[in-house]
Amino acid sequence: MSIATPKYLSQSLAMKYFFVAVVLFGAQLVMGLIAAYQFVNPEFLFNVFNFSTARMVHINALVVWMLYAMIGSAYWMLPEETGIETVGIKLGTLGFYILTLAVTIVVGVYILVQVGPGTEASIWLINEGREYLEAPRWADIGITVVVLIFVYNVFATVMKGKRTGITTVLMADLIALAGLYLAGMFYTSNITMDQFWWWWVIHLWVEATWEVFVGVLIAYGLIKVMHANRQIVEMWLWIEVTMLFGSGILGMGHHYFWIGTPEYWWEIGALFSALEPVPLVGMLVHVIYDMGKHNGKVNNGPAFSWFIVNAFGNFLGAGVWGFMHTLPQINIYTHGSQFTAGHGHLAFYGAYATILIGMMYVAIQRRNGIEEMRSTATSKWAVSLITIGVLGMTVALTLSGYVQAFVERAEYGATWDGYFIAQGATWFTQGIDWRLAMGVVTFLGFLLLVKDLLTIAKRSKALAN
Amino acid sequence: MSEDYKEPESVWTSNRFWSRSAGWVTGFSAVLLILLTMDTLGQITMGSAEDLANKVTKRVPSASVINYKVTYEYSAVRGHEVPVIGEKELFFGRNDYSEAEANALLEKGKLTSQAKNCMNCHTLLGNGAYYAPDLTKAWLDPAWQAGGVMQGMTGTTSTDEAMLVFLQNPDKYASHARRMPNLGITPEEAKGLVAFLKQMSSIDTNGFPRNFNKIQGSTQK
Amino acid sequence: MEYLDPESFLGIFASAAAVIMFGAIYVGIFTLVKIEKVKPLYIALAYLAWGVQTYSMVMLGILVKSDPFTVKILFAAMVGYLLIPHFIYFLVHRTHERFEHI
Ligand code: HEC
Ligand code: HEM
Ligand code: HEM
Ligand SMILES: [Fe+2]
Repeated sequence: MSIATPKYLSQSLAMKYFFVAVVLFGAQLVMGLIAAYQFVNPEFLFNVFNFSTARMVHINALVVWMLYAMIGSAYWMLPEETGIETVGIKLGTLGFYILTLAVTIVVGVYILVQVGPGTEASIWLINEGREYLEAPRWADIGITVVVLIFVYNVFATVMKGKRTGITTVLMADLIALAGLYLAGMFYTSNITMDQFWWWWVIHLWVEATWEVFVGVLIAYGLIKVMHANRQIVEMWLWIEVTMLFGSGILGMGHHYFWIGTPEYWWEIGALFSALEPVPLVGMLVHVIYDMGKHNGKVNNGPAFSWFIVNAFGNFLGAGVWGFMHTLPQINIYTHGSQFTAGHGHLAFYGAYATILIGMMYVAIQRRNGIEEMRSTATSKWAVSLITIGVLGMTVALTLSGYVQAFVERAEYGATWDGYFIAQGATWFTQGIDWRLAMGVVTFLGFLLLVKDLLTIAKRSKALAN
Repeated sequence: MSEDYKEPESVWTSNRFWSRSAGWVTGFSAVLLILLTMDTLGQITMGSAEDLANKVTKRVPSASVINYKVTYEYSAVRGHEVPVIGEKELFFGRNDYSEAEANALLEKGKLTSQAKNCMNCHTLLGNGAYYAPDLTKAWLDPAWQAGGVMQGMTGTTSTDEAMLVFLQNPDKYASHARRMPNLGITPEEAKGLVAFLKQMSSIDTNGFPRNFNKIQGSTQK
Repeated sequence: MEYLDPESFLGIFASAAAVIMFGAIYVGIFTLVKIEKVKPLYIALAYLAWGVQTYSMVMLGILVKSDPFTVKILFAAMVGYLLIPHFIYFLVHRTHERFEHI
């Protein structure tokens, strides 16, 4: 069976989405470095480019590059799974340009205008000021329109082409994912109500719909990269969907402990979120299983490494780090501390960044018809440095978070004074310094990644000849 | 591969069985979440000025709570601190804000908090960024009370006035090396923000933050 | 909700991490035995990992001051966890028989 695929327009579009995703990933890291440096030297760009601006662009670029890479992955897989060109691909391509223009304008406004007066107009035009969902309302509407085009592409193609378990799950999941975004698009003066619905978007994305999307990518990856048996892979996929949604949907309770919502969320949140690591263990084992069954024979070295880092990273970042602070008894001490930031980094990286980068390698290989794409030294350095960097940042932040729980929360009761006493504690500042150092390591790894993504196809072809 | 797909005989190994299970489990969880949401929405809807006047406890009190004194006290029944709404108290010289006036102030404050991006430095209700102190109970923080540093520093004699001055020029009234920047907050916006912070401190957050005020020895037995 | 002793924080984080880690080690070794990558004897290690996991879970329950009833529930949940991989591999085995060895 040859790797080479016909030149589907859908896959050309996927490459465009991947390209912008990598650019935004770079922007994310630069902003992260600025924010991390401001922790160490608070006078840096003070009143010029404040921490809040750097952080906003950091996490917004994160969400947007991941959505880009997810959309790209879907456009990539569609023709291969369904056997036909994506329906309405011209419209889809137009959507890409509109979306990219909108994202450019939004980021420009974030960086140049930064904040506005306290009026509805600011929320419509500048930023909405709600973590991860800062995009101003006009952009929300634009994003929704483009995403609707995308969902239409997927839906129409799946209906017309060959139907597989993978495409069925993909389609249902994308509809849920897009629909949830609407829960974040209204204004209320009631901060409890605001946060209640905000978590519908954030939690039900990262701990339900995005995770299922990852399940789809793993299934596709195992079939394409390791020639795993589709029947078994798809059965696993359905079992994973069952476990992910069965635990993740009500696991949302772990965000409703302290925001003004009733006490019964303590029990519901504890029970269901404690179950959330189970599917992650399942996904890890799934990969070990197929690897063992196929004696680790793969046709795409770098993609395979990223898939492995994904299996472990998802398990560690979401599973282990998530479980450590998810019981209400302990969450009252860690809620909103650097501990949360540690978990956030490893989970987003381990569960999503890794597999999406893996998909980019899959796309590069197949686009160029490379039968067997081996890891280069650069690929290996890239995956190692980025992984060590993020893991290092996570450990450092966990240390800082521990000090915060201990000093600020247990000892001083989370007052203004207590907060700064903890921020000044030696071990806390050590953690913050190491986070910066490890951030630099991450960034170096990223530079190598870009180099590798740009050159690996040429090298592999040269090797084959 | 799907080409040699054969209709399985056993339910366990049939994808149809598992896809149906996925559908049922997801549907069931979603329905449960929606039912719980409906109950929760009822409980977190903002109370009214009447509730306050009649001492009806709401998880999220009306904006009119700015007319009253708010404290955070240990409740033996609940096993943690809860906000307690007390007697009338002056807020910028008045304690007779109508519900509409109070709502307008709160809305100004909430909008400003979004437009100025407070949540990308601070946490509100524990959600947000970790660069600056949690603001859930900022209104009740010892530093803002009589005898705390802020009234002295800003040359004011009440929490509301001290916050009003601070928010407009936070970089001038810094108490730590990590300062809050000047976000161009107008007096009107600052007043709204103070109302927003006061109302937020009256929300029943199930005892978060824990031990708040412990240094003062006032809230925990 | 009980006030915790800050001295027990370290134990809480460690036992919580151990629950998930040993949970994965248990299923991981179990899998390797099932696909015949390691000798069947290693299954003993898998069950040992489950034992450590269960111990950590009960420990965690006690450290966060759960009432004795909840601790019993936790134990029951661990017995459930012991059974899950057996069930999954029963399925996988049956599926393999259908689709690979016909
Ligand atoms: C760029 C980061 C940043 C932004 C944005 C920001 N703050 Fe701050 N804020 C800080 C820092 C840092 C401190 C601590 C200042 C000190 O201790 O000297 C602080 C202190 C405070 C305090 C006193 C702390 C307490 O516990 O009572 C209040 C109140 C406050 N900010 C409110 C706000 C509000 C309201 C907004 C949004 C309009 C906001 N801040 C936006 C960084 C920020
Ligand atoms: C890939 C999956 C996951 C991702 C990407 C993720 C990411 C995040 C992020 C970014 C936050 C911080 C949100 C904020 O800014 O306020 C967060 C909070 C949290 N996560 Fe996760 N998470 C994942 C899975 C899990 C799992 C499986 C658990 C539980 C077992 C969990 C438990 C929690 C808890 C309890 C919080 C609240 C922390 C607090 O109180 O401050 N997460 N998560
Ligand atoms: C160069 C490397 C990086 C640096 C220096 C960095 C730095 C930071 C800083 C300073 C914050 C603000 C934390 C706070 O509020 O106190 C932050 C938040 C965040 N970053 Fe990064 N970051 C880096 C890479 C990444 C990567 C690779 C990811 C994910 C793939 C990521 C995801 C996040 C998330 C989700 C948050 C919000 C966390 C929360 O609210 O709990 N970052 N980062
Ligand atoms: Fe969550």
